[in-house]
Amino acid sequence: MTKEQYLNELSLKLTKLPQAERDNAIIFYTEYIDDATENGKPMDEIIQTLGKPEDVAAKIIADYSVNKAKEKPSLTNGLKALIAVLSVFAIPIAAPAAVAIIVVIFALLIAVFSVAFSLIMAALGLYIAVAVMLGVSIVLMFSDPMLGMATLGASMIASGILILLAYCFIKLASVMVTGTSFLIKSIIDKNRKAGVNV
Amino acid sequence: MDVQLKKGLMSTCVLAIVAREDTYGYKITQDTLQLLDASESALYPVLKRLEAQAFLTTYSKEYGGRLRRYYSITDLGRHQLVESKKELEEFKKVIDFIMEGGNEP
Repeated sequence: MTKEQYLNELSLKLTKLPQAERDNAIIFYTEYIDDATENGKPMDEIIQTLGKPEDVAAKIIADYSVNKAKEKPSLTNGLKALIAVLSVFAIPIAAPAAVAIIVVIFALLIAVFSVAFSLIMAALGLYIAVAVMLGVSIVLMFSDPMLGMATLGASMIASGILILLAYCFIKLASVMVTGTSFLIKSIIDKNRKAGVNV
Repeated sequence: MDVQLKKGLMSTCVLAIVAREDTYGYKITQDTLQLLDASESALYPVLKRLEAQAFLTTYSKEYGGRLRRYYSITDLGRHQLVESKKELEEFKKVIDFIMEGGNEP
């Protein structure tokens, strides 16, 4: 593989990153290879010590995503960090760590699903209540305006709660996913053998 | 070595290397790897983080017909290095004690 091929491939693997981040990494590794070559290292040896472009890219992306999720915790950032971290560390980990990770993911899935299920059920109930009350309030408006207004108010309150529930659900899910990616990263860090890629 | 410990040491090593004189990515990597056993690709994220923390700044300078990015330590970086050295002093006492076979130094 030539220097150009190596850098091209690295750039391709970094397309997920913002342009500035990618340019930064490419500039760094271009200079790096130039300097190594000037020190008399053949390209083969440089690639061997540096690692394959996909491994180098995986490390850059993992670092970027985790930092971004820490800075701005959101569901998408958390998920991105989780995937990036898993893809770097997919390589050499001890069996107990793998088991721990599977258990963590499994537990997370159960937690998310049960929370989601209960929230969806609550939302469904509220939704029906809102629809019924809205209908009733319109009818009541003509016969007993006071009672009609009260029912309309109640249905407004219920729809407010509905929106709040949806918001809580999204927040909760993002916290859970971000938390899991940090948890998995720390499990892997602790279990990795000394000397293997930092 | 513990990964977290190694990461911390690596950052401090890089600060110490750049504190001597402004230098470039390849040189920093080689100097660090003489001390710590890690992969070469581990240095880029460390440098980027130190830059984001404003401990290091970069500038480009022409070298042999091309541009080379030099890293330079900031005042904040020097302050951080002093703090890290204080922390390591504490470690050193413990390490000396362990290495002396648990005898009072």
